Amino acid sequence: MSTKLLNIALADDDEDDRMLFSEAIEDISIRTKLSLFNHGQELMDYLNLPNVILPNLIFLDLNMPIKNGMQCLKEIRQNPDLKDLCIAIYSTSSSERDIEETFLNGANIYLNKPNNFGKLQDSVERILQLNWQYHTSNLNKDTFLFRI
Amino acid sequence: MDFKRIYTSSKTYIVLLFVAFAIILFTASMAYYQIMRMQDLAEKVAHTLQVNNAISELSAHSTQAESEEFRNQLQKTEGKNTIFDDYVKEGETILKTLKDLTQENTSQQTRLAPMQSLLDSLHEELKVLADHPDKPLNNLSESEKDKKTNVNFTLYRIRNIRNQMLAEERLSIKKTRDEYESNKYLAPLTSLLLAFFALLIFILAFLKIYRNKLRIRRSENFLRSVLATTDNIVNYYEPIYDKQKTITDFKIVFANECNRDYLGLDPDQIIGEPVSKIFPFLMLNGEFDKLVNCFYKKEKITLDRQISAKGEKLWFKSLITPLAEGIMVTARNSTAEETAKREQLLLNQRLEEQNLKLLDNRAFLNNIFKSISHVVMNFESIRDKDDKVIDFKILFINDKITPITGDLPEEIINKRVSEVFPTIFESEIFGYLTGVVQTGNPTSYEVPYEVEGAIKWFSARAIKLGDGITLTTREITEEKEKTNQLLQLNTQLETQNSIFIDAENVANIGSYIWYLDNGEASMSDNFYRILGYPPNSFKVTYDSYREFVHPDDIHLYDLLGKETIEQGASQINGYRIITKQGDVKHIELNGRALIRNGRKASVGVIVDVTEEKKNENRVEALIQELSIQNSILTDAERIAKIGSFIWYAGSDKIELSDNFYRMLGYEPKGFEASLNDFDKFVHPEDLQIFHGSIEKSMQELTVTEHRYRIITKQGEVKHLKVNGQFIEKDNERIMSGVAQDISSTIAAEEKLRTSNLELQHSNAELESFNRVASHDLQEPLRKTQMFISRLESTEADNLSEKGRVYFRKVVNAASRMQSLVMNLLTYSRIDSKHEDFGIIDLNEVLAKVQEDLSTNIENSNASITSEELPSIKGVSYQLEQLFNNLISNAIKYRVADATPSITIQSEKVHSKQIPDDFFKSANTYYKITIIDNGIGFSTEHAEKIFEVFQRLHQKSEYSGTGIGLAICKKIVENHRGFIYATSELGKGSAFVFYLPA
Amino acid sequence: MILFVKYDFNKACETLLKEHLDAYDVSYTLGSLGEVRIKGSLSEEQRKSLAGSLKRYGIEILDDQKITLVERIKNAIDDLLKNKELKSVKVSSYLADTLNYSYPHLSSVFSESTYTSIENYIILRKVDFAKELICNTDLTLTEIAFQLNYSSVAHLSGQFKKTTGLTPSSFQRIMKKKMNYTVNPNT
Repeated sequence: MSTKLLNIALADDDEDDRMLFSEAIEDISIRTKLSLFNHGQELMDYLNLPNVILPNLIFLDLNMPIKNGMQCLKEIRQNPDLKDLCIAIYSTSSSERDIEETFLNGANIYLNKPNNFGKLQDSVERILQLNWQYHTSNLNKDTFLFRI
Repeated sequence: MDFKRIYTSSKTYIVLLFVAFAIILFTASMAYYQIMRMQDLAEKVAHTLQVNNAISELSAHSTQAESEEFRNQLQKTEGKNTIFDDYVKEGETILKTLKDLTQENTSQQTRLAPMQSLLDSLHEELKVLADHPDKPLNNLSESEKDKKTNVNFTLYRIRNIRNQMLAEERLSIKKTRDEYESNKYLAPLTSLLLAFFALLIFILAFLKIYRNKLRIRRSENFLRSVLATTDNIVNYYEPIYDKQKTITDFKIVFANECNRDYLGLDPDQIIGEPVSKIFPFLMLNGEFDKLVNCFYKKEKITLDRQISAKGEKLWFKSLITPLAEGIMVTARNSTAEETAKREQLLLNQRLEEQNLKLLDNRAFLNNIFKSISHVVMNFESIRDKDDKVIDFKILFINDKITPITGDLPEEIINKRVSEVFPTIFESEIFGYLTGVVQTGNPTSYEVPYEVEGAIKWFSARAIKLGDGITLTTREITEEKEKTNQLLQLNTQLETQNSIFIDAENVANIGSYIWYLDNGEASMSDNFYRILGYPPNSFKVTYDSYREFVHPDDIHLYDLLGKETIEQGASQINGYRIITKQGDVKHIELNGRALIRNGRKASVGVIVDVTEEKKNENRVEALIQELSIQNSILTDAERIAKIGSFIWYAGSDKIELSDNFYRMLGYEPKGFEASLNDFDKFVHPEDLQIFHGSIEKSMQELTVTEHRYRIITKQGEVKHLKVNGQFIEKDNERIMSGVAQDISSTIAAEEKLRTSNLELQHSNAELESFNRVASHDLQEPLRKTQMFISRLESTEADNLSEKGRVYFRKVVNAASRMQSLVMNLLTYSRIDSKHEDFGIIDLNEVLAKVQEDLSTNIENSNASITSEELPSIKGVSYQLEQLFNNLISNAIKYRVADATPSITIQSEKVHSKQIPDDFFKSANTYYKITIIDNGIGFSTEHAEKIFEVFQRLHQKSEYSGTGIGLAICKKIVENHRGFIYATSELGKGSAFVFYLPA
Repeated sequence: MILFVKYDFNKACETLLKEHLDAYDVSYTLGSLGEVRIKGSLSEEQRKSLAGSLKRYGIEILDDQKITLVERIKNAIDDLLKNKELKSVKVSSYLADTLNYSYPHLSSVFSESTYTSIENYIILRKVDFAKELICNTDLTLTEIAFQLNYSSVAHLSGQFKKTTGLTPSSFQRIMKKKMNYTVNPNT
């Protein structure tokens, strides 16, 4: 199984962030396949494609044009086909209210966009590891909350 | 011991004795009888012998006659015949004797009967013989022969009878002998037997009686010991009689030991003495007669009386019983009993009194409960098995509950409180009540209760009573309303007051109170201003004020003072003053004397007439008006800008108060007021409202508050708020109402509204700033830093020495920018939205902060000591921020090379103890002080440091954004608290903040 | 209406396994730690259909030796944590004894295939239990700390925070809110 690629999706309207994220994820020990989306709608369209291979983990920026991260989160959680997806919020906002609201709406992970590349790498790696554990062990996904 | 048995058995023995005695008597009589019989028999034998004798004599007699000799004799003795005579005599005597002897024997009698005649005939014949003595017998003639035969024959017959009689006597003897024979054996035998029997019975009886005597002696001993050991005096008296056989006294025959115990009398000595000597009291009070009565009539009597003996008063209860030849007295010492009885009686009496008092009290209490408007309840706690109070039982409730809940006291008594007031658990009341039961501290609280759809307020006071509480509840709806009204009125007054002050200001009027006794005085704010001083900036007295008086007018002022003190008023009504700034002002005044706070005072108004000096008339008018009002403060209507009116409902007639005229711009009664005329004052746009409200009022007969504008005589537009009510006066329906000039209020409201709008605007702006700061501002910065870190890791080696220095500076600048933005963001995010407020344990907050700052603390070797901190209502992350900032500041601004030491203290204080001037919304506060040994700051900066971007130090010296303390201040204020700092440069600082407890 | 259920994972899985295994005419015994010993063997087809039917329940038949071992390690850890009697047992020796491998071997196999160490996994698992206890019981943190063999509440809180990024109390708050929270798609 460790040879399997982990499917990751990132929806972020900021090109720089997308770039940095893909650079960060490339360097970590877990092998991944990253799909990038420019905004929430793009992601949703993709997820709703027939016969799509669903990502193991989705990173969602909150502040996006057309469809923001919160809307995506709600849609995913209401869609019976998608509701089991693991979702990480990837946002600049460190406001407690934002964090709590995303958790309440079903986010599993909240990642503050760090201001240091190394930190980003570390965070992403930890998240992937944790996600891995949740997918491979008897851990209760209902109580999967992680803030980094 | 069975006395009855003893008694009855001795009876039987007595009977037995009697029987024995009877038998002995019988035996004796029988013996006597036997003896008599024997005597009888002996006599009989003797008699028989006599009879036999007589018979033998008789036979001898007769035989004589037969003999020849005799016959011869007889014949020989002729003539003188004495032998014969003797013979006859002898015969007769024998016969007589025989007759006598056989008198009782009839058969012998009958046999004897012919004997007489036979004897006679014999005698005759013999006589015949004797007459013929000469003739021998053998020669006897025939006749004589005959005669001789005759005698023989008679003799034969006599012999025959004699034989018969003898046979008879022989038979009799034989019979007697037989009889004797039989008696000879029987009589002694029976006598002996009977005697033995009697003896046996005697012995038996004696034995029995002896045994009985023993038993009686035993019982006697028993009785004696009983008598000796009994608690009762047992005495036995026997009467003493005088010559007339009346009882004069009693003799003590027996007395037991108790006499000694109770009366000190030796029973051995008193026995035998008369009662009157030993117990003199028995002779008193008719007791003696009772004893006598008892003795005679054989009736029991009881006596119950007090006796003094051995120097003590003793109670004796005596039972007197007749017994045999005397009376038995049993006396029981009932002193203790009596005492107890008396005490009982006393106690009873007291109890009764108390009961009466209680009844009185209860009645009184009941009356109180009836007459007071309080609801009085008494609850008893109901506890569960853990002894926790889970409910209350209503033990008492007075009938004032009925109008509130509709419950009748008797129906709800003994019910559970939760049944009657089901909402008790929902409200905090139950908590209060259990609190009272647990702590015993009385508590008071106010509680709303819905009565017939209206919310009524009740004030309750709960006091612990036993294991329960007494709850006194009073309806305070009205009070509350009144308080509210009062508060409202107060606010109105305040408003009016400020308006008045404004008015004073504008009109250059000042007012004062001057106490005539010691010259103390106070002045209105504007008076101070007129004098060129800020309000209340100095203490004013008659003398200190004198300094302001123009030297040329000082005599006027003195006169004014003198006259006012002496007469209460003065003719002086003006003088000049010199203000602080040196301006000369003309002052006119009007004062009046009154008693204030029990002190003589002069209250007055001054007017700065400097400007209006020329316009004398106006000033005069003003002063006139003011003096008419006498005191501005007392003229509420004027101050409150209220005018009152009366409208004779339905008519055109209205009456306006003086101030209403003034409000319309007229002098009081300055025009003839009528409803129609009033229209011309009403603002044309509001005419419809005005008429509408009048019509509505008339229809509903109530006045609802309405507003309209008026235009005064001077053309000024005023807003009036009108309210009123209908009343009956002199059979006329009138509407009396009040109109308040609320122009200024409306203006103020308007102002408030605009500033509110402004606030909303600026809030919105702030919000958008937040957004900008949090996202838009942060985004580029973050990205800058991101790429910096990227560059650092990949390209750092490619930079020149200088390039690396610049690069470092870029990194530093960016990170400073970052912390600035973050801090600003934090600052702006602290809002007072109360939804996040919860109970926060400050100890936990501190622990978390210490954990967050652990690196800092470890690096600096800082020691943090804290007292036990309280839990408060607050927002946890804000409080964390607060402690974080203060503690990290304390570490940051440490004296170089010194170990930072931070002490945190906590104390609960009453708001009154807090000197600092901030709005105190709570009664008690926690005062938390964070003391450090850092570099401190000089006191002059104490306020400045809490402002945004105020830094006291060079950037290079101590890093900081200058927002930290501003954030602290905002957080504390957001928690309705207050923060300040005290310090001395180089001596550490103390940050103190109060948070509502 | 909200129903709160409590379930025993192991029992549920066992029952499921039994139900499905009974469909095949083989005799088997269920060992602990997710082991099924089948007497004889399953045909390739049977094995496939069994795998298919179990997959619906999230039960997989493991092929790889190492992965099997990792699963057994995990199961052993679960047992260790759930079994109060084993509280004081040392993990390394327990695992070595139970699985019959040296601990270093187990450790390296585990790290190799899970991106994490056994120690970390235990922490993760303990925190997961803590979460479960926080959400489903009224136990206080002190009681939870005791039950999970933490030396203090602070220790539990620290590990919880490190593992989840949230303090136990904020986690509890969020979970409580979440239970009463209905997602409104329009906002």
